Amino acid sequence: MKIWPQSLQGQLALRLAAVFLTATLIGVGLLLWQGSEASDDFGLTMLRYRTGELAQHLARASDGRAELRLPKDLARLYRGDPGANLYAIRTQSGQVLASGRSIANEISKWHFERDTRNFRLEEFGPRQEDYYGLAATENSAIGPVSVVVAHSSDADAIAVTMLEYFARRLAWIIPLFALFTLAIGVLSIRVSLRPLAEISRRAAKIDQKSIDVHLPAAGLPGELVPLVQAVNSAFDRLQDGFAAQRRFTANAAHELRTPLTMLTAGLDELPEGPAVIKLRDDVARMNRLVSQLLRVARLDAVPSDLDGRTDLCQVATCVVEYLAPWAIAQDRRLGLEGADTPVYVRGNSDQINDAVRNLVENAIYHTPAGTEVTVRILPEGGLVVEDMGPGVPASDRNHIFSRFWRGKGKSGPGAGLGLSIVAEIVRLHGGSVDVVDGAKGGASFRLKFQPG
Amino acid sequence: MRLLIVEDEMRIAELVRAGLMRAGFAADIACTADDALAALEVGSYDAAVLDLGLPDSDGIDILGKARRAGLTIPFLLLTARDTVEDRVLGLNAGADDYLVKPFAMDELVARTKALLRRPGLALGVMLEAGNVQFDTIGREARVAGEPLALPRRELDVLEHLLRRAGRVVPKAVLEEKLYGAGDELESNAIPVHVSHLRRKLIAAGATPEIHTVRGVGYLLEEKS
Repeated sequence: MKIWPQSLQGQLALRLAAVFLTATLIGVGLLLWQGSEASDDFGLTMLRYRTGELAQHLARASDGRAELRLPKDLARLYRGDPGANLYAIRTQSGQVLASGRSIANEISKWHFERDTRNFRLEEFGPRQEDYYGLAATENSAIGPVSVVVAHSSDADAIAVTMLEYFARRLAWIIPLFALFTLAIGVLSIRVSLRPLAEISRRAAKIDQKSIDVHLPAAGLPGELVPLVQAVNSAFDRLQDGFAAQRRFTANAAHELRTPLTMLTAGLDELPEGPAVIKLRDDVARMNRLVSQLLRVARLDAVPSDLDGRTDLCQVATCVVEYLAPWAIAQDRRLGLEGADTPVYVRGNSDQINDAVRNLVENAIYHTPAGTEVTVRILPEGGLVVEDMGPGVPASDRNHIFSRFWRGKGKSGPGAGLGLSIVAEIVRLHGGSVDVVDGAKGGASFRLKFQPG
Repeated sequence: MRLLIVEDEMRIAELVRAGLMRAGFAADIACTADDALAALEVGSYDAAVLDLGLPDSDGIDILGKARRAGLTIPFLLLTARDTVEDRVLGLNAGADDYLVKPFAMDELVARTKALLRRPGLALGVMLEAGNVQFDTIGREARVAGEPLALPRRELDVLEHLLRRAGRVVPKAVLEEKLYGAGDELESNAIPVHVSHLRRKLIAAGATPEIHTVRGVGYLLEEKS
């Protein structure tokens, strides 16, 4: 199972979520700790207040003895023995002036100190409760006295309950808040990444026909600009490469064909004779080879648009019209069948034209004099080229589409490029080509393309 | 008939000129785009044979400049580039025909003649292939100088085959030229006319022959 997401957006969101979770936990922990600290401080302050309060109510009675006169509400506070609140007051000499009964014993054991100190009584009294207390020296009407107050930890329960209540509130508000922030985070990531999606769309539009497209760098986050620039300059280099290849094939065509033209025209000047006719054939063969080499170079190097819509009937008609005079000069005939209604296929018409032309040329080379080469359009998006030659032996059928392959002992006019060009064009177009025995003997080449 | 040959390769230019002169034309040679434009401006040429690859400029540029200057003479392009795109580029720029190198001199002469007999040009009265002649104004055919009597439709077929001698004339084109859009047309009308014409030509001893390209059309070609 893949846990770590591949997408930048997912990774950012996950990291953000982790940060939020940690921050929330730390925040809540701190808050709770501070809360309990505060409640402890609050308790101490309270006790300190009470020691002062008790000292104020200490007075000297008419008989000269010290007397604690508690107002009603205070008396209620220290009611019960031992109640929730305990108190004791003693003089500096250790004499207990006033106290709840149960604590009197306890207090009398204590050494008197001038300092304020807090203490803890564990499992004290008959109810076995824990008490927190404070002993402090206070000034009173009868002079300095030591006042001890304590209250049961149960009385702290309110503060603890309050804290719990607060924590429970936070328990659902904090995750909600975290979720909300996370949502905003993810949303802003998504918005920031939108230019990236736009670039992807732009890049997806680039095909073989439009390699001169550039990705827009305007309005992009600064981090993405170097990437886009690098990609654009890669495009430029590719484009230069293609342009150089185009120039090369155009120049090569010119450079190779100019001397051939001189030869052809020069031969036309010579008086007709068997030697001249032979030379003319040689030049024609050379010319065919040059044409095919140029086609191979173009196919190898120059990308072209393969998504066009091409009418096979139109292509076949063109090829047959173009090759018919040459075929007739070789005493071969050409026929076209099934070209009455258009048959559309997907592909580059120039290349499909090349493929069909190579198949027909090949068939004309192999069909005997006086016979016909038939081109038949298949309505499902293909065509068949049939000749009446010797056919292709089954053992050769896998090889004839390889570059420069020629059958054993064959000394035909071709260099073995024609059928490899057909195979390459078919491969580029996602089509197929195969050869079987024709209905009239001979070979039957079947070419198929994707419907357009 | 004076022609201008624009070609930087001197040897080809001279061979082309020799071929054209043998066919009865006068021809001048320009080796650069500047020379060509200057020659086209002052000389009165009936047609130009233009090589696309020139040292100082592209042939297409010359063609564009000449056409913009109002020159209407036919241009035959010579080029080493043979893709469909190149052909379309040349024809769109205003070329009248297009010949890929290397070419046979006969082809060049035939194409040049065909260009010069376009409608609107003085030449074109007499069509010729081998020993067959056709007078387009008198509408009379001759084989080896002897008149050959032909019905109207067969004369029409012969005329169109002669106009594009050596190249395929699609059956659909013949149907369109011979019959108006409203005419009722039997599917085998053209094949019947062609086969009658073919028999009559053979009987009269004509050197060119009508070949059928099954499913596409016909072509008239000198026996080889």
